[in-house]
Amino acid sequence: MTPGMLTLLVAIVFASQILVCSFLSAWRFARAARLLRQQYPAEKYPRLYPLPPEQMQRHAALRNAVRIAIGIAAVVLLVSALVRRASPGSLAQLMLGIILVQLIPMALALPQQIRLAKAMRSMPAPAIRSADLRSWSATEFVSPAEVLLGIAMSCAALACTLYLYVRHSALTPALTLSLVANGFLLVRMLLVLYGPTVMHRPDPYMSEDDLYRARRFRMRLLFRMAIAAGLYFSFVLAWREGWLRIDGVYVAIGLSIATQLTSQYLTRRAIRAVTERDPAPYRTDMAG
Amino acid sequence: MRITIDVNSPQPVFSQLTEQIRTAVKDGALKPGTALPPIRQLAADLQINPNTVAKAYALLERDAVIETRGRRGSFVHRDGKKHSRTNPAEQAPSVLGAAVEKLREAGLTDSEIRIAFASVMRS
Repeated sequence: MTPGMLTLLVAIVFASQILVCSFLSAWRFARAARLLRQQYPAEKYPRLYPLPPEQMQRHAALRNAVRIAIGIAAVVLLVSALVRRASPGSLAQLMLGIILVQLIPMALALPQQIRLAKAMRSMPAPAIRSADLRSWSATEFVSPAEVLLGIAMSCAALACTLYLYVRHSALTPALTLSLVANGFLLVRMLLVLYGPTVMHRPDPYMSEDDLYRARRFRMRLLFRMAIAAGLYFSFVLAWREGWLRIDGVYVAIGLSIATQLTSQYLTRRAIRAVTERDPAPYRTDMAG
Repeated sequence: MRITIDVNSPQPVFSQLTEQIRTAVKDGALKPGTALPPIRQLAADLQINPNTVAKAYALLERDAVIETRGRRGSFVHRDGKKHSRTNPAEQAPSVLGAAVEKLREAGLTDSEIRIAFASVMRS
């Protein structure tokens, strides 16, 4: 591929990344928040708002403003890079840098999400409670193929990490991160499969269908993160060692596409979490 | 098979659990060898203290309605259906009633009987 065409390809992927990760995600999160307010107002469904609704709206609006501001800044940077006739490599580096910046709204959301999750879990439970009287297994929520792949990818990444550590006799930041991330995920997967893991209810009022969906999401997230982390670290470590000869520009394009797909998935899930939820247990007129 | 408890009921929660599990085994809803949820998982699902579930499981194991196989967890006993038909706890009122009647015939007042009963329970 000629440098000109490669620059064009990077520019297209970069523009798509800005559109998807900044503007589209801001629009979808705003839509999810609006749907929640319209369909389940706080006066009728107080149990859906364990934190003050105004506070939740304010935080959501702030995060969306940050997303849009980052999107606008990224557009300006992209246009100026193209005007300067930046090389494909420097454009790809800029694109990767913007990915990191686009993660800022997620980082801003984390403390509030943790507070919200804690508040939901600690709501007083209803007097009448029911549960399934059977033992569940991880493969009820995740396919055996994903289980095997998650464990295999984690092991592959750890093997790669340990080999490189022995070879270079030094624990670089990349190796440390790989060891910590893949080690943690592998231990967590094994605990879920064989150990005494308890899956707590996200909130005491959730219907059984929603509870099943929430648990399935958590399980799938664990094993898919293990697959993604294992693949990512195996690839990056192998690439940096020169075992894989791939132009860094294509690696950056691949990372950008993966980020966009993840962003799409998370934003669609935010909307589904509102539209598919059974709101009945959260009404004021339901017995507590 | 779902289990439902009412924390506002006068019947203790552990008793509600043992009764429902016993009924499920007796009626065949829980077949011999069926794995029961781990104590902590059932406690988390019902949002009750794990000690309450542990007590219910211990009583059912005492009556051989369920059996615990170490770290593998608790399962419905292979003869659980037969054992679930009798509940030792149901015999307590008649046994105690006979003892109380005997003590009354001996001339003890109800207060004296209550004091003696409390003393025996404490020891």
